[in-house]
Order: sequence, then structure tokens, then C-alpha cells
Amino acid sequence: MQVFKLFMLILKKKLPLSVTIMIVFMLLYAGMAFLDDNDDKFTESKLDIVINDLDDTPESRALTEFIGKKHNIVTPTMPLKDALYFATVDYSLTINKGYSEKLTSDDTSGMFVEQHVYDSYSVAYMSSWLDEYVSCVRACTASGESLTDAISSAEEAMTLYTEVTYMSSDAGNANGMTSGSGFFRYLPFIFLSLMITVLSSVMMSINDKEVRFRTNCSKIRTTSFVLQILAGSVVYVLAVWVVFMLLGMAFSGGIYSGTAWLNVVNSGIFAVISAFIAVLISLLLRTQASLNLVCNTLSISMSFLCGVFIPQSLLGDTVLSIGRFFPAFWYVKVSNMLTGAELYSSAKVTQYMLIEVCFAAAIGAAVLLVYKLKVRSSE
Amino acid sequence: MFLNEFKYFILSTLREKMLIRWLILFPMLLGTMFKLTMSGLSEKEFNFRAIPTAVVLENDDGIFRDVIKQVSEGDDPLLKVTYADSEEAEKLLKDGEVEGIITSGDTVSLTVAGSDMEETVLKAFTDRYLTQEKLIKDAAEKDPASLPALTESLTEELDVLEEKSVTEGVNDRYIIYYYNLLAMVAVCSSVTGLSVVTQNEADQSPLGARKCCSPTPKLISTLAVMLGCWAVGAFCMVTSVTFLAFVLRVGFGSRLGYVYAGGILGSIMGSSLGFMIASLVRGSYEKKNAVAMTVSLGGSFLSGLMVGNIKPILMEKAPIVNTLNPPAVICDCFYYLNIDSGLDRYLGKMAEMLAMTVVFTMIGFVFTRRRKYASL
Repeated sequence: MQVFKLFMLILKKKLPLSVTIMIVFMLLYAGMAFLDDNDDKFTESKLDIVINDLDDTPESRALTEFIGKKHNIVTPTMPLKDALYFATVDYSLTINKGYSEKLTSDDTSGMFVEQHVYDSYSVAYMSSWLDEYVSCVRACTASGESLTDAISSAEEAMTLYTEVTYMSSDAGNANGMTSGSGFFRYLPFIFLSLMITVLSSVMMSINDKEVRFRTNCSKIRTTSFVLQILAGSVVYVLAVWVVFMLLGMAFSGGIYSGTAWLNVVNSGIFAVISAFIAVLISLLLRTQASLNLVCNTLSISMSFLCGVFIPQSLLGDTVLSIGRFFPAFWYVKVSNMLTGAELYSSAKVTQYMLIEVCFAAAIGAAVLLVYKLKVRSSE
Repeated sequence: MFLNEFKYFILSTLREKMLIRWLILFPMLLGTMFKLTMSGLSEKEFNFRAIPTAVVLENDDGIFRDVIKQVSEGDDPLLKVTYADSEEAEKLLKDGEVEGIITSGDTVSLTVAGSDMEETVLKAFTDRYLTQEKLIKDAAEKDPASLPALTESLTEELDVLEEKSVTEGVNDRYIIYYYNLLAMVAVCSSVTGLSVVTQNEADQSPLGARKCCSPTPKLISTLAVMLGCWAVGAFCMVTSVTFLAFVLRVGFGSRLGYVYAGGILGSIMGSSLGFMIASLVRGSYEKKNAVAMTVSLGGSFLSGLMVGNIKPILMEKAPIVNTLNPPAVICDCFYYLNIDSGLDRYLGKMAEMLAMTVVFTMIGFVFTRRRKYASL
């Protein structure tokens, strides 16, 4: 087991790097995992609104108070335009001077000034809501009520809520833009980074020309050499995969259940693919100096093109067409189905996983081919 | 001697393949990835589109049908309606084809499968219908004579809102990633800044040892290498900005000259940062390089290169980090140039970069001066 021991010895030297990368990713995960929430009941979205009341009358104060009952009225901790740009504030509303008079006059233009970055759903909602509020107050005054009574009647009528039924649906999350951001979605980037940075580096050290020549002179047979390296790689890949699966369990608060196990299998297949990619890179690269660059280029490109960083539902057709040629694309497809970003279909999950297995086989075959060519050229 | 050293430093640095790959090719690749995946993303993610909705009419309510018709037609429709029976509508919702089901029976009800803003807008729509229904019913009970005035008022077209634009610049939240990419190029120039120490200190490299034996004053030699670093950093930055602006056509607005200026000053600051790091960290080039990369990439992370949302979080919770973090300062410089019509905040950040450059360079000089060697 000399080669296996050598493998472990070099791996031990690279371990601090591996552990650092793992810790960084774990910390990132800790932040992301808490952002990923799934409710099983309908809760109305609350907006963070900045209100600037220039009118400062009982009517404008009543409106501010009423908005405050449904939404969060906030004071930005940074300049308003920055807060709106970075969406720490959803909407800025200025109640213009003369608002209370305009409630009963024919001219309603310019009662409010709104500021927002995008014509988003929040903006459409608030515009409609303000329109409704003014319309109701004016309707009540038109029916003969005083302005104070009209405001009370309008507010009372506007607290009449629709009965909402929540239907649990696998596709429910797919409707939202930020869905599918589960623990497993980011694993392709992490596995590729960890495998290329560490495994490629170890393999390059072992396959270094001089080391290789010395090994060739020894009594160790090529088959034994390859098998021992394979054993070392399996130990490393398995260790990384197990650590992240345990981490996934820690974040999900218990042992995986139901279709979540498919996520475990899916990530296992991708860990093997990443390892094969790492080995292939180690055989193709001449120096370790460019390893970091190749690692970053490959992991970032694949993650961007396949929907790891940005949900596939938001990517353009061209990007998706290119993404299909990478294994991470099919990994994310499966992950999306299992996290609710796409409609679940067991047949499709099996099909996509088989595509991943084919990728693994193809890259594995490429590794063997390149290895044989290298061995022959060194002989 | 100064010009000679300056010239040969630039030539030798530009021949470094790794430097070209990291400071020119890698940003180009990353920028291309950003462009491929993020173009039009803001509109897709944030802009309002008609909400796909299934409508189930249990009673043939003509008024409700009219209301639905009103909001699903025109230039800016609120809903994209599919009329269906309840079974069909549930299937559409389960398949993710619609966001919700509006059912009009004895009363109006809503069925949803999520809690996003789309569902909230649907609820606001049905709430509004119920509100108006209640007002009409109440008026009919209290004073039927007031009904015509009330209904006329409810159907009146109002124009209560005026819109004020937040910025005259590019309204794309994802452009921050390009700013951070340029900030990364700038601070990664710190790797070239390490050469100021490693090429001038006798215990750092054979070249440093030879230079220490030469008659050229150390100050001249250091200044030449320092200026060379700044020039190389500026070259890489100009290449990156040009690639982003003219090849990828990233919208930097009409003030591209200021973007170049901010980028060049940022890269000078990055090189000076490298000079300071190399002078403070004792040990091999690899050790200095590791510290420089950690500072650069760690700073870029805090500035939002990897997770865009981290910037506003720090702006709210720990603004001091954004003030002291070099990549964040560079990114803010570009951001202010885009969002503000004036140049006040941009110039403030430029002054901050200049101050940081002076401080980093001074520290570098202080810690590298008067080094003596027992033997070479």
C-alpha cells in the first residue's frame, strides 16, 4: 500500500486548504439555509415603506397609520435612493401638501409621489392599493358622509379580506422566482472547487514526471498503482460527500426522508463526476501554477451556465442550450424538482440522473484514455 | 537608471503568463459569464407582468365577469385569465400554470399555492372587489338615494400618483456585479505590488540581491518598480473596462471617462495595497501572495462579488466595513457615478482611494527602508 500511503501523505498536506474551503462554504450555507423558507400557509407579503408626509393633516396621518397596519413603515439607515436601489426599502411614498383638500375636490392628480427602482409587483400592488383607498374615501363622501366618517368607513370596508385557501403543490414554489435555493443547489460549485483544488493537486504531485519515472522503476505493478490511487481518491471523495450530507442533515434538522434521499443520490453522482473532472484536469495540466485558475474558470463557468448561481427559470434560452452540455445542468434539473422549483416527475428524475451517470462514464473513459496515452508516452 | 528599471519591470511583468491570465483573461471570462446569465435578469426578476390566474365562475355573475375583463385587457393588464371549472383550475395551479384561482360563488374566494408578491396582488384585487361590494351594500341599506353618486365615484378613473425616478443612470441592480468585478481586478493588482518588495529586497529574490549590490539608490529602484506596478495595474484595468464597455456592452452610462479614472485609481490603490502587504508580511513570496489573495478575495466577497446582497446588509449593519474595505470603496465609486446625477459622492470615494493609496504606500516605505544584510 505504498502508493496509497503516499497519496494520503500528500492529501494530508493539502488538508488545511480543503478544510478552509469547507469551512467557508459551510458558513455561506449557514447564511443561505436560513433564507430558504417554505411556508405551508398563505401569508400576505408586507412591504417596507418609507412615508414622507408633507401634508401633515389628520387625514394624511390617518392614511399613514392605516398603511402601517398592513405594512412596515421604516426609516432608512442609508440614503433613500441607495435603500431603494438595494431593495432594503420596497417603496417610497410622499403624501403631497394639499392631500386632504384633494380628497374631496375634483382634481386628484399629484396627491402622492412614489419612488421605486422597478415597476415591480410591490409597486403595482401599492399603486392599486392607494387608488382603492382614495376611491373608497371619495365614494363615501359622495354618498354624503363627512370626510372623517368617510375615512373610517373606507378603512372599515378595506379590512374586509378575501377567504384564502392554501393548496400544497409541488409546483407552488416554481411560481416564485427565488425558489429552488435549497442546500443541494450549490453543491456542484463546492464539489468542483474541492475536487479540483485538492484531488487534482495530489494527482499532479503523484504523476509528476520524476516521481512517475521512479515509480515505474519500482516493483509495483501498474494495475496495483492505479488501484491504490483509485482507493485514495475514493476515500477523499467519500469523505467530502459524507461531510456535506451530514451538514445537509444538520440544516434540515434530521435524517433525510422521502424524495430527499434522491438528492443524496444525485449529489453522490455529481461528486463522482467532479472527481473524474479533477483527475482529467490533473492529467492535462502541465504545472500546478495554473490549477487555481482552471479550477475557478471551470467551476464558475459551469455554475453560471447550468443554473447553480442563478435559477434556470431566469436564464435565457442560449445559456440553457449551452448548459445542457455540462453535467451540472442535469444535476440542477433534478435538484429543482426535488426542492419544488420544477414539477416533480419520477420518470424525469431517473432520466436526468442517468444522463449524469453517462457524463460520469464518458469523463471516466476520457480519463483512462488520457492516462494510457500518458503512460505510453512516458514509457 | 529610473527609466531603465521602470521599463524592464513593465516588460518582465507583462511577460508573466499567470498575471495576464488572472488580471486580464479571468475578468474577461467572468464578465462574459455575467453578461450571458444576467442580461435582462432584472426585468425578468423584478418587473411586473400580468399574473396568470384561473377564474372559476360558479354563479354566472355578469358584474364579476366584467370586472375580470376590465383588468385582463388593455396595455397593462393585471391578470392573464384562464376560465376553467374548479377541477381544471386546481390542476392548472398544481402544474404551476397559474398563480391562483379566483372563485366567484356566493362570495369571492382565492386559492393559492405560494406566498409570493404575485399571490398578495391577487388577494389585493379580490379584497378590492369585496370592499366595493360592501360599500355598495352598506349604502343601499342606509341611503339608497346615495347609490348613484357612490357607484359613480367608485368607477371614476383616478390619477393620484406621480412617479419620481430614483436615478437617471442604469436601473439594473445586477450591474453591481460588474462594478465588483472591476474592483476585484483592481485589488488583485496587489499581486503585482508584491514585486516592489520581492524585487528589491536581498533576502526575497536573486534579483533583489543583485539590486542591493548595484549602485542605484534604493529609493530610485523602489520608486521605479512602484510606478511600474501602477502602470501594469492601470493597463489591466483599462483592458477590463474597455472589454466590458465595448465588447460586452455593459451600460456604464454616459460618463465612461470617469469609470476609467475610478478604475485606474483603484488599480493604483490595489498595487499599493500589495506593496504594504509585502512589507508587513515576513517570509516567502508564496506567503505574501497568499495574504494578498486572501485580502483581495475576502474584500471582494464583502463587497458583493459572490453574494450581491451582502453589500446592502453591511451598509445597514456595519457601514464601517464598506468604508474601510478597498474593493467596496472602488465598487461604491462606480455605483455613485451611476446612481447620482452629481459627482459629489463619486469624488468623495476617489478622495478616499487616494488617501488609502498614500497610506498604503507610506506604510510600505516605512517597513522596507533601512534594511541591512550581514551577507548576500
